[in-house]
Amino acid sequence: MSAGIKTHPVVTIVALLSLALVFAGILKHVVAMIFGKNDRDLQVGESGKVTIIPIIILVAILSTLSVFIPDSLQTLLFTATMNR
Amino acid sequence: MLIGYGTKVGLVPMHTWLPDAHSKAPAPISSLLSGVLLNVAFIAVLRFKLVTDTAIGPQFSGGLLVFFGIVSIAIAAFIIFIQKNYKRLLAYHSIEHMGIITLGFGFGGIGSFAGLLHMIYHSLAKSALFLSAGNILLKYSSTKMVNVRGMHLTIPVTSVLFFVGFMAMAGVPPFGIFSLSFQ
Repeated sequence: MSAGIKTHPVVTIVALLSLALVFAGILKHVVAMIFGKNDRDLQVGESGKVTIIPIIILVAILSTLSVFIPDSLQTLLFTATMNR
Repeated sequence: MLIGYGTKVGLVPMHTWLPDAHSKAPAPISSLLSGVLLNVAFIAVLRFKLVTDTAIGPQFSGGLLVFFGIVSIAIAAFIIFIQKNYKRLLAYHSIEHMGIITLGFGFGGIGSFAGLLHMIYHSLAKSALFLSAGNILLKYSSTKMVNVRGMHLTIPVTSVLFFVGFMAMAGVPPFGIFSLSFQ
């Protein structure tokens, strides 16, 4: 957003307000889904390891890339966006 | 070109196919649609942007991308707030994030770098979220959020992964989208 605050201040402000609205909306929905009171009689437990492992791998890669971007990837991205 | 590929990217107002396709498709397909197809279509937009920039300068294509980006973010934000179906919620969330990426490339400079990195984070997180949504559907047999309650007791691992994925997508620290949103 700092890329656009000088050239497009109104657009940036609208974008930030929309992001705040999205965060509030998501938090409202997800918290209700996870921590809401369940009235249905459902069997406890995951459907299977096969359905969990791919998600764990994706979240692990996401978390790793969030705190550490390899130099090679950074160089690649900088090179790709150098003249844009 | 922008309208054609923008439809595949899911930019508003050409987005109407996306929530329907994502909510009806099986979880792995939704995961691929959101994690791969949208980004591939956006790469096509970028290729044409480069040609247009060379021909008539970056103001024209930048302005178009900023317009479609901000409209996508704003419309998706309101629909996310009132959404009742969690798979459609994820689809509109994809529209919003493609809007952010489009806006980044419209701004140019460091925004382009942030946009490209955002595409990587979005692919990973949204794929994980759609796969989690598949697990939720398997357990609750419903895509309506009102029927899905108490996930932390019934599917604890999925609920943690779902929550982490959403926090990552919402730009909560320490996830990458947090720092990207302010670049």
